[in-house]
Amino acid sequence: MVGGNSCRRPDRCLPPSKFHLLPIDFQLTAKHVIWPEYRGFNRGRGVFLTYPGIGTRIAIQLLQRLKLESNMPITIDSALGIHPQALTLRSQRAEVLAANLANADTPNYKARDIDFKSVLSATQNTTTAGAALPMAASNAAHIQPLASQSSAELLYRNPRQPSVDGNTVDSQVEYTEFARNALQYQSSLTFLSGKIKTLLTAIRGD
Amino acid sequence: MALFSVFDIAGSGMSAQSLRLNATSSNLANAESVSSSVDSTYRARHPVFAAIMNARAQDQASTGVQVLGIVESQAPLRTAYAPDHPLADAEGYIHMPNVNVVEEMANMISASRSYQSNVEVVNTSKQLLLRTLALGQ
Repeated sequence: MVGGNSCRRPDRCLPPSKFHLLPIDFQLTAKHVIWPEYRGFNRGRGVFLTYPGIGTRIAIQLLQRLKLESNMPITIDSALGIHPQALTLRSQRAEVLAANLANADTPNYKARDIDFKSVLSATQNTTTAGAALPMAASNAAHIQPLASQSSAELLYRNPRQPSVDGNTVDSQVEYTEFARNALQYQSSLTFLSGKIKTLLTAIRGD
Repeated sequence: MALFSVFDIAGSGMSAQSLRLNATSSNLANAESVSSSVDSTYRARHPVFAAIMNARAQDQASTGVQVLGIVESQAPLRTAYAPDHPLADAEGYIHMPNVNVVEEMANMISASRSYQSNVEVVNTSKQLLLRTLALGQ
């Protein structure tokens, strides 16, 4: 579908011709964010990337630009939600629990764990509040470091039955926690892959 | 990617447990190795485990296990009066190792259980990584 000013919010939409050109110095800002167009040929398929008069190729270009714009309200990161950070944390927790299991017979080893909930909410706060202390970036393509990588605080587990040699690893507890953590990792993966499929559907438009 | 270091950690645990299993089998095999002098008698050997403390503060989670060394048990040797034994000393005594067979059997079961749990950890991590690699396909 080409032409025709079918945009319902003209203040939010660029004329289609400008999108087709997409000059090099074109700055994508919040007011250019794709306005959902339900009256187009994608009606009923849950595709939100259709802008009046732009085709799929332009939509992909737009998505790529959106990826570069870190202060955009719609980015790939925000579309994926909390799950990438959850995955990072889950893998760190898997490492801690594996260390506990490997040291199940080491004298004086104290079992450790991560308080998943508090760490995740902390990373979520720093990321949604625009990263409490962002790194200086001189180029839009510079990537901000993941906030969750530095903030996994290790705590010591309260032993249920400490042994004489000072070891507080309870193999059964550690193993069930590891299995639970693996399952939660997989559920995060499932959510992520669903979201990625949704985005792919939106990009391809089929 | 923290899941990759799980392989290192569980691998260190597996090698430590297999060394422990080795020491146990050596002890069990030599439980009845008679000798004619105190010095040449076999003594039960036990590995000493210690956590590998990583110097990097950022990486404090990755503590594998290492074997600091093998210590010989200081428990008293078993001595028996058997003048007919070909290895008996001048007074007619033979010296037998201080291996406690029951203790070694318990040690063996514990080592094999720990080894199994490390293998399970490796398997689970491998599955998670493979599923991560297939993400979005």
